[in-house]
Amino acid sequence: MQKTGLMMTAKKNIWAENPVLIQVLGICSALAVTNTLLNTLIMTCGVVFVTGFSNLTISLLKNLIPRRVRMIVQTLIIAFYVILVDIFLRAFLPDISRSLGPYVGLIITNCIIMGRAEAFAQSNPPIISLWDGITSGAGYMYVLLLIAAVRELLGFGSLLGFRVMPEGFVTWTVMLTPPSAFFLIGIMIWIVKSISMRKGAGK
Amino acid sequence: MKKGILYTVLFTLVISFTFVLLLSTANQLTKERTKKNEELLLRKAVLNAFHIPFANDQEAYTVYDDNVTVVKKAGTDLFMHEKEGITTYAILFMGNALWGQVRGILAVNAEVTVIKGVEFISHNETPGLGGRIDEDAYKNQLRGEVVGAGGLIKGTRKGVYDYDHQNGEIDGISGATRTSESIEKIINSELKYLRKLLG
Repeated sequence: MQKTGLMMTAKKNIWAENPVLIQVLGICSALAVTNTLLNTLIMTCGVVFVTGFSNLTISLLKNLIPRRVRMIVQTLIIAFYVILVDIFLRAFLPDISRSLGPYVGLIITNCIIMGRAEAFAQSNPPIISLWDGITSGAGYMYVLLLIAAVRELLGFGSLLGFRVMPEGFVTWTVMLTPPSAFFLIGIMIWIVKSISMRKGAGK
Repeated sequence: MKKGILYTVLFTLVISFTFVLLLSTANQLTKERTKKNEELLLRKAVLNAFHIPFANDQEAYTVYDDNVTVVKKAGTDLFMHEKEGITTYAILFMGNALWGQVRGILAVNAEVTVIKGVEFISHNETPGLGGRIDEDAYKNQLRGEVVGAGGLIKGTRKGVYDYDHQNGEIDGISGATRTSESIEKIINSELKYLRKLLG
């Protein structure tokens, strides 16, 4: 039963109710940080960590939090974990911290984190809330990584900084600009919707 | 369960205090390491601007100590490097670009007629766009650049990086015009200031 619950939550967050492709949340960062794969990987790891642990903390404290200050406390908890990520990056991964610049701080404004805190952690037990946060973050992570892979490949001709495209390859400057992420997200939403509709029609 | 106003105030106070305490503890625990990272970043930036090679982070400390001295000119700290009787100077600069402050090192010859190198320590420009000021392809335009008319450099929009080091020109980054213009402005302002200090 417990195992089925965990599987259902994961499937829902990663595919059926994917935060980016279905709920269209977290779009700002999807446009801003996805021009290089490494930056996207670190940033999305930060989001997975923050979503998971803020969900866990909120779920543990849910019976103590007064309703009238509920959202302020949720924001405080989310900000706490984001600043923790920032402190960690500055101390242990200074180069990544430098290249991500202000985007780490902006994790606080990611709607997915607040959305999961309010919609799930506030009314569910701690372990499943932690899992819900991690899988929601993972759903966001793989979509952004796919977008970043395409953008870096076509925009720089490389993947994770390593040259992949042949010598004469002309890079697509448009892929380095945020609008290209819009096109890619649009194409991904189209593919996912088509698959879902085909599955629905088959049933 | 309905909670009264006193409980709400006390809870908010306690939870805020707890999380701030935890964060300041984390900050305190990593303070030394972060400071060391920043110091190393500055040293590496100075060495790169002077074009002094080093193999790794550890070597950067010793190479810096052996080759660079800090001199004070009119209250400003300048980094000085002497090699084969030729003295070059570098300055830590700060200026505003599109999204925020840019910090870096600008190295010049003693007459401030040739830019020896530029290295950026921190910036808030868009990764992949303005953030490309960090790439060697962009910075190498300035390495050995003879300054142009009025002792300044001129930004161009040719779409191809300018490696002719005699024309006093550098080309901007495609898709990051505002950042490129800001860098040109910052460097020109530092060149003027250095001429005043060293002239």
